[in-house]
Amino acid sequence: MDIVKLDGVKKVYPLGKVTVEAIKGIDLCIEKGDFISIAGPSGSGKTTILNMIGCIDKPTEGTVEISERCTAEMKDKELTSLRHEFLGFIFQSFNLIPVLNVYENIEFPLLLGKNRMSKIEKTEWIAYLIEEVDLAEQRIQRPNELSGGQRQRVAIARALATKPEIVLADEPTANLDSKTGEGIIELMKKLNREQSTTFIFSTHDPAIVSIADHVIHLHDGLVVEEQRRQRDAGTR
Amino acid sequence: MPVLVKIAIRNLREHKSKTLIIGIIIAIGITVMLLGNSLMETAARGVQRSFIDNYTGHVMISAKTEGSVSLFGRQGPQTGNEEIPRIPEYERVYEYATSLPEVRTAASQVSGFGLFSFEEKGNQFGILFGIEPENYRSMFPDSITLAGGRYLKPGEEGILLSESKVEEIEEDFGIILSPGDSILVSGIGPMGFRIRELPIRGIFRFEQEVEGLNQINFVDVQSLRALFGMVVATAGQMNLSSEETYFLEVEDPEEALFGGSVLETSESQARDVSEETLLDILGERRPGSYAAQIDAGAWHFILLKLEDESQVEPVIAQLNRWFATEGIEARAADWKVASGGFGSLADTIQIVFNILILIIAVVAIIIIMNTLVISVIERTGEIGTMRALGAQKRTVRRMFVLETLSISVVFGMIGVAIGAITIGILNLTGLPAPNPFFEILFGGKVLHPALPLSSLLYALGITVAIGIVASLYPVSVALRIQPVQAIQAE
Repeated sequence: MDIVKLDGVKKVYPLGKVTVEAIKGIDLCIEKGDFISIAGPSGSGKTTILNMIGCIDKPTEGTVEISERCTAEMKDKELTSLRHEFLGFIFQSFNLIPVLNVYENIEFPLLLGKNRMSKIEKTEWIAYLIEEVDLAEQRIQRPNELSGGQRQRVAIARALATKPEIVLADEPTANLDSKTGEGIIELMKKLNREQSTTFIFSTHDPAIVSIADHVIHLHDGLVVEEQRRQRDAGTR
Repeated sequence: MPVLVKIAIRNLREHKSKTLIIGIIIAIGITVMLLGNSLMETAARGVQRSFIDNYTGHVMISAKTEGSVSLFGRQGPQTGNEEIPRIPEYERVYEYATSLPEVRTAASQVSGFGLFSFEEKGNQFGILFGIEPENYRSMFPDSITLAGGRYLKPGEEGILLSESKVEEIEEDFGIILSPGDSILVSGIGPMGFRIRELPIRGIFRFEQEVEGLNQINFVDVQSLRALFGMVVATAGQMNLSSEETYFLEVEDPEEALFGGSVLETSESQARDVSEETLLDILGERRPGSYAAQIDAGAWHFILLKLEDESQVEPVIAQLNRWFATEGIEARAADWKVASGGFGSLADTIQIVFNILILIIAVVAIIIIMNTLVISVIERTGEIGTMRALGAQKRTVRRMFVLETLSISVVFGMIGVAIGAITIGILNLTGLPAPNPFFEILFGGKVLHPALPLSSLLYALGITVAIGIVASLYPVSVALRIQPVQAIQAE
């Protein structure tokens, strides 16, 4: 089942008097439970693609479907609800809320929109996520008291808090050293297996790319290569 | 949403310097506003109390005029020496006004300006209130204290001089006036100056002395009518006697009066310039003589005190309706009109003060707004992240309004507390009026400011309003932040 479908997607940005074509026409299908990397050099359109899948940007041409819902005609409020219910985000700069501690940052998405979990369920689920990302000892620490790797682990737990179908990660390892970066990707892969959550991440680091099951290579706004590897045994 | 309160409060703590800048502006603004309002309101109440109790009563009835008329003369554009018009159909008006159940007491009054003459030494200006002693005293029982002599007796001719006037005269001319002495008073009427010698019956001082009003002196009404030429003939349209029209027609009235031609050429004409006519022009000097000529029903004002202060507006409306129905050219007005510029002074100052507050509020709003916009821009990543995670625009709006309101309310309360403590101290110690202008404003020499609930609520209302208004623009900036900016933010 395709959870994400891009059909003839183009994105043009105005830049002063000229326009820049960031995406020149992409067709793409991503299956549920994929662990997929969008790879390519800077300026190849990785972030633009992720933004459109994440419903935080709209294509100039073509359609984007998330869980069989076309985002083109949706209003801001509907897109916000869609993001809340179906998507989780991991940012390159972690983007944690600085005044909230680890627990509160992970809890934050659960306090927005409709309450689908009871208070007990919520507490247990956050505790589980904190255990999974190995931050039990730091649960009451603020982001500025954590290392880069720890912050990104908080961001991963936060992205999974609402049990989304898709987690989008834009260069999640860019601000981390290679060892920590690999650790983060391994953690994402572990959660992908355990939660059956689709992970889509962008990177230009070949070492990170090699961990992905499905790699889409972009260059100058076009898909130049698509690789599918056999998933690890026992994934599904 | 409790998490928003948490974020708002922690953000305020996190950005202490910004919070303090905004907070201190709000606290100072509120303190100034509360103090100013309290002083103004206490002063206004003091002035009102002082005037109602001592000079004007609650309601003043006067004749209808083009401009407004106060106890101290006509207001507005004047064509020179205009006299205050008399109340038409005085008896009927007085009877109707005093028959109203809301009216407790009534006193009628004639007002004007006079000069106290001291031959070659010069003149002293004075406000003259013509009264019927009994009525007036029952209306304003505690307004004056006698420093010497006694009060006017009913029907008795005489003047009560204010103590400060006596002191002024002594200072300027070295003349010591005492009860029992006589004083020459000139009045200005429709037919020019009239002079009268009045016995000083007493010297008084006002219980609540207001600078400017210490020029008031009380004269028996009949003498004042004579001084102002309020004779029967001048009631309504001015009808001049043939002797008077003769003097208006001649080219040189002095020559006509005193020149030889009048006395020498025509015996009959000489007889026309009788002693009576001369005294009428110069002002009668002997009590009782020619009294028949003075209009005993001529009054400028009827002052009313009511049983209940809340009835002022309805009583004024009722009286004015009755005047309109009966076709009487009279008008009822409140103490502010009666007091002339004095009563509206506090209002004017309050308006100026409110404009000042408005300017302070606008400046405060701009500073707060500016600081908040910077804060929003600094938090672009945070806001974008929240939006990306699924926070609707209303959530972002709530967060910023909560932050602004938290600062406004907390520092507003601090401002209120400082203001209230200061007012409390001033209430105990009293605030002395530094000059006569402030004496008028304070309604006395010392002001004991109080903190009315209305001022407190007003201050709190303004605090919240400043908070909300100041957050409007920053919130709109915050709402324009797109989730994609979270990704771009470093």
